[in-house]
Amino acid sequence: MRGANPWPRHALLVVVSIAMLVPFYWVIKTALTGENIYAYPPALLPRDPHLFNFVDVWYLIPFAAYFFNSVVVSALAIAGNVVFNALAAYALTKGFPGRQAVVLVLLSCMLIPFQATIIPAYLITAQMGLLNSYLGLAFPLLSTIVCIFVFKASFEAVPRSLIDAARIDGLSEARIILRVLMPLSKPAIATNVILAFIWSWNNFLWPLIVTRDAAMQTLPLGLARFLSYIEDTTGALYAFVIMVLAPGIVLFLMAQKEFIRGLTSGATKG
Amino acid sequence: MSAMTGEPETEGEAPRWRRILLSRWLLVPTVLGIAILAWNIHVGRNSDGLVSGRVTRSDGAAAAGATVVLLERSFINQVERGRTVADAQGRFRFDINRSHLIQLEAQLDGVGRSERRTIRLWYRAQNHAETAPLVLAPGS
Repeated sequence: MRGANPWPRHALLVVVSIAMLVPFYWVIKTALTGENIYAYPPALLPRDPHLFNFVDVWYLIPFAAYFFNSVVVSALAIAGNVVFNALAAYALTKGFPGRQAVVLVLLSCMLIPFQATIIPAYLITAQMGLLNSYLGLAFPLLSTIVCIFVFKASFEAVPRSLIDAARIDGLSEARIILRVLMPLSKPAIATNVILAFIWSWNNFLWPLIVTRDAAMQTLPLGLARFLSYIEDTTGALYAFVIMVLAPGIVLFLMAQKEFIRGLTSGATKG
Repeated sequence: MSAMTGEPETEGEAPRWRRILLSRWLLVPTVLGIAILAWNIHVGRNSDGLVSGRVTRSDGAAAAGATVVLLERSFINQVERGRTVADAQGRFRFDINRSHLIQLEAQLDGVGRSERRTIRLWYRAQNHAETAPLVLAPGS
């Protein structure tokens, strides 16, 4: 491959990138114009673009309240993921009887779809009195198995001698995680933050089941509610979609370097 | 890095305070925060609910005494918010608008009625001076 002309490969990647970005472009174009998405022939460029659809979304539905709810739930999910996953991952890096079995169970549980566990999850949440609350909304996402393994791979990449030295210096297990492992696992933290944020931000089914009143609804539920309007709201609907997507995209763009590093850390170990 | 002096420990490494200040995790929220603050100040200073304009006859003459109706629009309906009467120069003014999506319509008995004009504002109660006059169409 070395010395080969890179242009054909780059051209192919550009074409694939454009193909993947077309839907996003179409959403933005529709949000700016409000034109019928089924119009034929379709207009490739926006005609008379304006931003008033975004204004409509902001005022005609309680967007700020939905946004606030989503932010609170995502923040709880992120905090839970970083703390609980780091603790679980550290435990899995230690040698103890049955460790392989625990890892096997966790890996097996990843195969079970959330829909299959939603009734027990609901009953447990109800027993804890967390229905229709922020904590209840974030509850199933407070720890995720994928993210535990992201932390585990990152912790295992830290030299054993460093942890031993910290222990000789008198650091407790909690302080070893906090002072030694976490600062060296920033990519894993970024991966946890992004994945927890995206999963929580886009979650629809769980908030639909757990919330009781409109004041606790999150953005995906607001989007579904928005669809129930009877007038032609195409432009405003797509503007809403962009407003829902924007925070996730911004967060990803800000942390993409750490995110990619976090997902691949440990992949080349050994 | 020296914690006391803030000087870099190794050559070529930026001081810690500079790295923190130039961090995208600080810069992006700060820029967003400033933009939101500036926008809210602008909105606060320009949202008295004033809507003004002119009503003319089809020949361009001022339509004195024309009744102008202000309606608020939502996705599914329009609700009348208020009405006023144009002065001798055909000028009208409302100070009761609380919406971002309004309609204006003028009518003068014996002359006619204007089109119902939709006006989209950037925020609720934005002060707005409609430059194009509402033209009364005879027989409408």
